[in-house]
Amino acid sequence: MPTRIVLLDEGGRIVEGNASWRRLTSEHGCEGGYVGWSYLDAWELTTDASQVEVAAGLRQVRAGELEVFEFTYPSQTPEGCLWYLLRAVPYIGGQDGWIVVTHQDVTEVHRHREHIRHHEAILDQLDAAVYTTDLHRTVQSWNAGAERLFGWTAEEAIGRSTYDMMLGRLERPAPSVHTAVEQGRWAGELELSRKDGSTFPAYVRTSNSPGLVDESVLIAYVVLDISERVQSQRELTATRDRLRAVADSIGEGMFTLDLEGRLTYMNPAAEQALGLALEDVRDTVAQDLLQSRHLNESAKSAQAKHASGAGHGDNVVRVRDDTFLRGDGVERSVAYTASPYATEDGVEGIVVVFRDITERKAETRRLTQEVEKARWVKRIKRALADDQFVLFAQPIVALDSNEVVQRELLIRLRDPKAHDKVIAPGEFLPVAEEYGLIGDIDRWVIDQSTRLAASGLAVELNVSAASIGDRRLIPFIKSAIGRNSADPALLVFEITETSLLGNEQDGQRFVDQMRQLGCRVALDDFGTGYGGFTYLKQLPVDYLKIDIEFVRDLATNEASRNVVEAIVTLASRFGLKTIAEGVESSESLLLLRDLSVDYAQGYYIGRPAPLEA
Amino acid sequence: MSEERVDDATRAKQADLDRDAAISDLSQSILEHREQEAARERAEEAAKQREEPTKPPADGVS
Repeated sequence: MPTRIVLLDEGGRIVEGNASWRRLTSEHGCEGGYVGWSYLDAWELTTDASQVEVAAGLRQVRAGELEVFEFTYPSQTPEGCLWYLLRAVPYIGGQDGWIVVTHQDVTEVHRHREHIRHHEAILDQLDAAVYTTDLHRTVQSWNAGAERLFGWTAEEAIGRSTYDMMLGRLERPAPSVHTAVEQGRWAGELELSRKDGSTFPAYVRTSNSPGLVDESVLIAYVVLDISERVQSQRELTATRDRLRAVADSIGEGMFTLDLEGRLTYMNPAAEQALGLALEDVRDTVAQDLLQSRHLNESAKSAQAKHASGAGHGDNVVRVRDDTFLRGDGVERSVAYTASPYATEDGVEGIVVVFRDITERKAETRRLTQEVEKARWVKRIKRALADDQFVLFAQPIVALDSNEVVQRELLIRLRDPKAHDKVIAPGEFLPVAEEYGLIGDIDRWVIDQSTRLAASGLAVELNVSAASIGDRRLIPFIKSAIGRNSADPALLVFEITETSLLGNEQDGQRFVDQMRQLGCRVALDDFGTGYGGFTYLKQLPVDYLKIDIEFVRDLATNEASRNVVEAIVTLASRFGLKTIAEGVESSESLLLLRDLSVDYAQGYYIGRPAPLEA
Repeated sequence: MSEERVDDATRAKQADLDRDAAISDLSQSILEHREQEAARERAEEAAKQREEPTKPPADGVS
């Protein structure tokens, strides 16, 4: 649109207008260009803008108070609203008070400025500093966010160097602006300073952009204050460090597993207890290492509880007794808890806290055994006092005649609290031996046996190793035989081969004196000891009792048959009789007879049973 | 020394030798029996190791 030009006289009347002006006035119905009209009246016809400001401006120019008066105004046209710049200057070379008024179409410029103003308003609303600099770091624009963030107003900042304002104050130099320019784009975190000298962590993004006015390059900056984020990260790191320190310092072993059961962490206590180093076993499936009985199922159970929404504390699985295999192959007893965990960033797993209870378990077992033994000691003493022991008898037959020639007496304990339930000797004899009660039991058995012998029954009775060394036993036996008027020939005392170990003199004395009394002696469990059998030359026993170990599988085991045969040969060389124990089949019985064994006893022949009154 | 006493001493000596031989035979038989038992136990243990260990019930887990 061509510029409209109007010349006004000192009274503000139109003296002349150019063609463009006349074209405008003709559109409003005046072909003469309003010549002679008051300019303000004519101008008012072409615009909705107020005359007041324009009148004041023209007056000031006319009076020489202003060299130039400019005023932008809108004008409604068939093409829409257009914007004009009214510019009034004195008419040089004309009469005093004359002025030239031009009207230039600035619609495009006006829209552009409005556009920029609109964007600047948006930028000002952002909680981020947005500014531009030239290549010398001189600020070209500075939004409200930059004012708030750096403390510099736009008026202070524009035209200043950002190096002076925020970078030059830092101990750590920022990346060169030129580097950013060369790369065209740069983003990163920097420490920046404010006007008051304080610093803050910032996220900075730069990009090159062409200048609005010319071809120069501007660098646009967007700066965000990330103090809160950095603080949160520091707190998070500190919290993690604290948790790690706690985990590392607790006495219990602790490790974590991912949902596939792989080791993700072990504290030092766990490394020490398990003999493993985390760096060697990280991401290894824990079960493959620990060979635990319950770890897998416990971890799955904890995870299932977690998945089902069980609250904190309800999703913990406690295992009181399990084993972990150490790195050195030693198995340790452990108790542990398995708990699910989940972090906010979606990492899930199981944390296992365990204690090595091997020593505690062994101590508990020892204490339990001690308590149990103490209970048995009390029970044995009561049984002796209240006559609760009973003797069962097992028949012994002569293999050449199949006749019962004598009976082995075997002690049992009745339990009056359980309807006289019979308790086997294996339950109480070891305790009786350990706590010195076996001698009392032996004496009870001897007294009962002499009574039976007095009734004409041939019996075999067992005497413990402790009693063989007891000098008071022989007088007691003599007394019992005399007291009960027993035939000593009906009494066979059994001593074990092992009871003679380190006790040969006592054993020999016992055997000698029993034989002097007219009693006989059998060597029990023969073949199971570790002696070389030469002691038989000094030990004048009457019977060798072949242990059940060689009799039980006689029909199927040639080695057992060889042993029995060798014992029979040995017995014949020493002039002794043999008694086979543990005969449980007719085949064994026939073989024993074929091997020339003299006597036999066992379940096949007769089980131990109470003696009839 | 009379001939009768010499015979007694010889018989006693022979009897003693017989006893020693019997002791030796028995010791050897028992040794073989123990070696056989130990081999059998080792075979049983090896067979047990080859089998997949059966998990005991989840006692002690709550």
